[in-house]
Amino acid sequence: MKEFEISVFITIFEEMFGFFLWWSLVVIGVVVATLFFYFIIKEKFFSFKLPSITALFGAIIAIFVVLSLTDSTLGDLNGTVDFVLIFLVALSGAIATFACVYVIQSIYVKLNQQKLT
Amino acid sequence: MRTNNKKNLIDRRKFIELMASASSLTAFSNFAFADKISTKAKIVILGAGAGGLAVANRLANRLDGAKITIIDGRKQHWYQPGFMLIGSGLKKPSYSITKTTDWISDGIDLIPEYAYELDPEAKYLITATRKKITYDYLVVAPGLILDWSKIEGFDLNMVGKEGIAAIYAGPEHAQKSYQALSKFTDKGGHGLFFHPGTKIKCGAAPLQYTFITDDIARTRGNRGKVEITYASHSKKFIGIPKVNEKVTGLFKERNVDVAYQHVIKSIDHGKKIATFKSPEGNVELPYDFAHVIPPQRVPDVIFNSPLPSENKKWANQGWIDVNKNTLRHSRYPEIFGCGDVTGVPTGKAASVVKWMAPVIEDQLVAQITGKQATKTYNGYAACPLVTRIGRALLIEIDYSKKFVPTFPGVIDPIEELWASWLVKVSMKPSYYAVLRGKA
Repeated sequence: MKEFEISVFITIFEEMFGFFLWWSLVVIGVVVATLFFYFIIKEKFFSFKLPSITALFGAIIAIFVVLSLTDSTLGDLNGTVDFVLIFLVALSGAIATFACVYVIQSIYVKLNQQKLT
Repeated sequence: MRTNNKKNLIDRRKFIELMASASSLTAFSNFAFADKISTKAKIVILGAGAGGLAVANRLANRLDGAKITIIDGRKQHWYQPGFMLIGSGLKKPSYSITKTTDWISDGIDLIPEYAYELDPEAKYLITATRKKITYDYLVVAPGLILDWSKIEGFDLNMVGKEGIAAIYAGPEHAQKSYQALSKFTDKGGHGLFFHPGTKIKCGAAPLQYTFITDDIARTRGNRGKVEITYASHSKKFIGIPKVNEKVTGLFKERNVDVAYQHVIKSIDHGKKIATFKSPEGNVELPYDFAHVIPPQRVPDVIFNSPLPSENKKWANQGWIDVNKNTLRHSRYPEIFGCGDVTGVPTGKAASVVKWMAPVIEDQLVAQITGKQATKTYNGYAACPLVTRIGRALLIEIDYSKKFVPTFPGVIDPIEELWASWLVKVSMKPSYYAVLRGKA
């Protein structure tokens, strides 16, 4: 068995997306996550309804994007690890969509509040 | 419905070219913490395939002042694990094609010529235009030769026409192979697959293309009018007993006829008959579609040098005689072997190069500095053996031929998994990181 190194994974992602795009995605991810937790902690009253509904679509879209990019179908899933992986794909899509929509919704509400005041 | 020839969403190379210099600044780079060694050593790398590039780029990152020269006449670099996907109609030839110069770091000289002669006693090489290149250290990584002429009656111009496939021949031939496969799986007939009588790169590829043909015929609803025969050159399909057992079971389940100890000899394309040598004499097998893989051996410059092993089993193929752990030549300590050309008892695959390159870097740097090397190669090889489009077996072994799974208990090497297929279709960035000497 061979050992894993985080630096190798980062290099592979740099190779996959290109240095700029990869690190831009990382920065966007950190900014969205920071804003998400900021709004969750500071502005507890924002609704989870729209983010929850879109998260469902995010999960489905994530599954079909991965299947499409990997030339496979749901019928190819076979072992336990396959179902765990596809669940993680769906979960990632759902979380990313939820966070993005929640942040966008929060910014929109805040801007409207500022306009009213 | 599966899609064919999908375009990459992102022009990866463009981004990489723009960012190549900035990339080296990343705090997470493997080399950010490595000490640079000062040396005036002349290091020649013979071959700009995966092995040659990986070692050259690693050494360029590690050494300061060394003269590193790569000798190779190939203008294109081919991502060979992609040939199976091109031959399956899932990717275009461009998926596997880049320029050799895309992968050569600053500070490395490229002599774009093939080597003509190698004298390990006097420590020099002669190139095709008769330039003399001397060295202090030599890394031999020229890959291997596909010896198509050893199959009588076969010509590469046949590929894609009237049922001949040859995905090993290159990206364009892999695409033509898919055209032949596609016609065959629509029309029906007898499909013939075989492993030639030598060691070959990606030893599981003949099995994979058999499984893929079966799968495409089934997907199109035409399996009933397709017969498939797999002729193995030995008494088994693959050298790992548990995998061999699994493949035997899958062939039975998928109605693939098998023949053992059949070594390809000739093809009569007019009569559509392939002739094999077997213990019972010559055997003729008919085909409407045949996947041709030729015998393989080292390039002439190596074959005609003193580097090949004296081991009788490998003498006619010329694999070079290196210590299987240090990868140093057994008679010429300043020469190392990397990749397909080496006579070590493991597979011939990109995954092998990934683990050989850091060992050669470590051994060679230790030799320059007079210190003790710390890394050795244990024979690790990995192969996602595709059993249908969307599923594969992920086989990882070392010299002991025992499984050494990266994910023990998670990925079963003999279970057909989508997860293992993901490894097959997503390994290109990892491969390119290896070429850059960063993985």
